[in-house]
Amino acid sequence: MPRVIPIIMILVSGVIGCSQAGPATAPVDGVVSYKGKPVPFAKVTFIPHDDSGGSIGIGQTDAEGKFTKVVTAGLTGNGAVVGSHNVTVTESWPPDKPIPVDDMGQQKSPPRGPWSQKYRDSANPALKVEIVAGQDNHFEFDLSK
Amino acid sequence: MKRKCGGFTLVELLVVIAIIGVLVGLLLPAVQAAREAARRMQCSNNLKQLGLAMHNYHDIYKAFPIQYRINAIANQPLTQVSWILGFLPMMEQSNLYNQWSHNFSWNTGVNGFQADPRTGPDITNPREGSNAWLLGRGLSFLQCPSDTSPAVGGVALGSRQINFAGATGNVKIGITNYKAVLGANWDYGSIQVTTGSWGRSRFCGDYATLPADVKAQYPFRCPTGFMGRGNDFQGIPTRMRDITDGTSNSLMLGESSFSQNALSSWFWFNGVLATAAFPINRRAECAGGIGRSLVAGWEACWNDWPNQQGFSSLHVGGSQFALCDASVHFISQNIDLATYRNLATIQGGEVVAEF
Repeated sequence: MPRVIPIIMILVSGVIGCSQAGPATAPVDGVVSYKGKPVPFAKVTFIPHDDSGGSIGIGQTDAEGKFTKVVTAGLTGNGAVVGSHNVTVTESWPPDKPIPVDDMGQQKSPPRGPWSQKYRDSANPALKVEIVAGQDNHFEFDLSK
Repeated sequence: MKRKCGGFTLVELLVVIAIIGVLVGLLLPAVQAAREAARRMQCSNNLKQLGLAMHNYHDIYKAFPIQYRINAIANQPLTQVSWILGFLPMMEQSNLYNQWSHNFSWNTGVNGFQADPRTGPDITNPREGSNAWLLGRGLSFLQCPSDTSPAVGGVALGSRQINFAGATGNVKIGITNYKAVLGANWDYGSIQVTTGSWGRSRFCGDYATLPADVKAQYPFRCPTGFMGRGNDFQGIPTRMRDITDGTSNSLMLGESSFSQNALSSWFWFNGVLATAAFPINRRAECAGGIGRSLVAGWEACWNDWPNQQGFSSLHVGGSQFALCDASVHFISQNIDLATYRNLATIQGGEVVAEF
């Protein structure tokens, strides 16, 4: 009987090791605007600060400049990793139309939006947000400045 | 008692088998790694050959190959091609080069350029010797044997299927793993490097003052590195004397995994350039690539070139580069990004740290 105890301990420790969950996430939505007008079909990227070790989250605004879903690794629904993030807003193509291509079939880059370079730059981002656990995180990004 | 000779006891046999087992266990992973080491060496040899061929080209033409050229005269042939095409004779591919007709477009003649009559009726199955057929050739010296990523469309390594404008179906194109260094500047997607010595090009003024049409193609028309098209569509070549940072302090060619970028076609001007604005082996940054491994992410985002026209490889931990003096170096993906970008410029005037 005493021989069995270590074996059980090893098995139990294995179960504990397997049940470890990924980083905590929280739902995110928001609006992107430039000088009072919505910014349609922009890609909003949430880049967690390095120490949190989480995945980036990507959302895309609709025709009204709203994004309701942020895609993050290991998460089927809407959400981003909890903690502080840098946010970049870059152009993208509308999801429901064919993307224009050049002679070679390579997708063209989307036309440049009017907002400043500092909102695109992932190295020196102008937008910084904190995503809090256990609540809906709503952000209103104004790219006018 | 007379002892029997020449036999082994069971214990002795077991001990010997155990020792052999341990030795084989040590050896096997080493052998597998040796295979990758051999592939990497062949890959670096390809880069060395390309670097030496660049120098041969410079000896003959007094300039490195041009990257892109649009003939300014209306209804004149378009030669919107890559540096690799003009460079083929240096790699003993004169036959391929001589077959190529600069009088015709390679496609079905979209955008007002004349179609190649040698192609035949079906561009998805072009006749041998036509431009469209030639561009489908996979060239072994342009392929890194470590890069085993499946080509889009599932065709054989060294080529991939694409669907270009004017074609009804897929066309085979030959791919390259080796791309010329565009510089350290970039302004698409979420990487913005437009100022300082990394962003200042010998072809253009300050980024803030550029006209909109130049800005839309900023990194290509205002390259800060070894290869770019220059700012007037005439394909201004780089000469040895332009590399004022020194040939042993400037990057010339690097590796790019073809799962990473939409079009690594060797004959196409956008398929043969990459920038050091991106860190080496940068993760994919499109929604479809999230949560995947590095290479699977690249494959999922293969069309997202604004966020992944950097250098990458399937070697562990970095990528190989040829400097402008044709020496080949392995550069770790953990290199200080500033040092890496300093290396990429040819006229930056930076003091390059040890790498």
